[in-house]
Amino acid sequence: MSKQLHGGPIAHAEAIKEATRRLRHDPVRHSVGVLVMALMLALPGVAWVALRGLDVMLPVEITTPGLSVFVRQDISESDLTALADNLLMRDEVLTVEVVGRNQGLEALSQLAGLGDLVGAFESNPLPDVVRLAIDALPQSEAMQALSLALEGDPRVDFVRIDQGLSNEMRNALVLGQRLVLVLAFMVLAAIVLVVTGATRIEVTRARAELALVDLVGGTQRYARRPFVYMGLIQGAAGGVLAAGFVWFGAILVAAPLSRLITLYGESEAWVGATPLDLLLPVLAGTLLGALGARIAARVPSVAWT
Amino acid sequence: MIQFENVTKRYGQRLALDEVTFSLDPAEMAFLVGHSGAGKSTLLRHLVCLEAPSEGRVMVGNFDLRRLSADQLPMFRRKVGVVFQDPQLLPDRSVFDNVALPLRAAGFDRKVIPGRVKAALDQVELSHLNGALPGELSSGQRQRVGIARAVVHKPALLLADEPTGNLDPELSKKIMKLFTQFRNHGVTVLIATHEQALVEAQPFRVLRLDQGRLVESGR
Repeated sequence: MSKQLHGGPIAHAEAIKEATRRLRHDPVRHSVGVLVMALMLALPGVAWVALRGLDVMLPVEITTPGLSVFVRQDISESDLTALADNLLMRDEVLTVEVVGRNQGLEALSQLAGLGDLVGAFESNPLPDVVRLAIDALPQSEAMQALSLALEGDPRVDFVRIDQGLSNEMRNALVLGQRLVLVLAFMVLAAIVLVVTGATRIEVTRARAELALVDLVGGTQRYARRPFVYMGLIQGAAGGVLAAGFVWFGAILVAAPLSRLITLYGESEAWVGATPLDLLLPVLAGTLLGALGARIAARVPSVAWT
Repeated sequence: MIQFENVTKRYGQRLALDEVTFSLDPAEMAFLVGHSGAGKSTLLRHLVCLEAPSEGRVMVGNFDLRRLSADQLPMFRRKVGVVFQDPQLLPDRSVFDNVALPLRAAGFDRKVIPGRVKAALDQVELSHLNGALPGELSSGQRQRVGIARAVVHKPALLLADEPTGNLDPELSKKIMKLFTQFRNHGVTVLIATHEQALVEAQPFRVLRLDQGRLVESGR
């Protein structure tokens, strides 16, 4: 027994060699399996990267529903401050922000393509705006009542109910991210099942050989190891391919997303697929491939007939 | 080397072995004979733990086969060689790889394997077919490769289940000569066969089974 090795790197190297031999034995079937895994892994990956792009796109200033109170141009600064202070004292008002007319013009000029237009004005045409964040839904009675009340105020020119579009979109985005996570979980579970099924077929095909291995004193670990490596190799290959799909998918959505981001006036750059986005499918594929194969590669003792 | 103590094996109502008791000494060679269905294969399967007795005890060397743990079972099987009627070679592996299988399964050092395989193939006079695939061999050559695989790891016990069943008389004699050589080298050999002529030509002990009962245990 002194010349026998029961584990260690050589045993694993032998198992990897045996796994690759089995993979080469039916390359088309195994390649299709890898491709299926890659597509499954890439799906949530691309969706996640695209959603992150949308996240960047959304304006951060308007985060809750509220009112934009456009003040008359002839109102003095002290009246404006008094109006803002009065509004802040109301229970339903969460925050009050005064956006001065110059500040508004500056923001307008920074929007893509509007700089020249703004420069053409002889004087600032914008009013001061008091932006209120309200603890109520846009359609609620409280919001409507406050809007009507403010419209009756002589200092106010008109009132606009902000639908909290950004907030709603952000909620939709969070929902989307959750859905992607659910999808990812289902896909990962499906990958384990796919690998488990494929490995079980492989084990069944090798039944005669495994019976011999069992009979000549091969351990379960020895018999199982090549199948686990098969799953691991296929999972890793699927993961690498999936990373390629994610990278390619990110390139495809980069241009339209960048245009959208610019239209919304956001300056934060969308970085596309990050190294982590590319690493995750590889890690997930490798681990899940090995896990699925490990589950399937329970090699039964087979009696000789 | 082998001790069967009142071994009974039942499959439901059917009795496959009925209170079988016998023993084989180390380096003893014996034939296990009987009609088809007499229980020969069942008895051999007990000796490699593919079956467990319903009653009684089987000892091989110091191993009480009832008490083998899952970890001990592979270690025990590495001390046994098995030859089948159909040698069950792996069709997509070379002769070398087929013979090397027990060594690889037992975790032998890669450097040791070629020498061991060559020695085993030399014993069956097939070392020149090292790289051939089983499909390229005659049935006699395939059987001898199966024997080389059974002895490559130098087992203490060699079991053969109808090893000459598919062979002509001349080849059968050659195979028997090989088994005798292994026995002369200290291996305990138990051969199950229904070929009466083959048995009568050999000077070894005969264990005769009839409907699961051992009805003869001598020369």
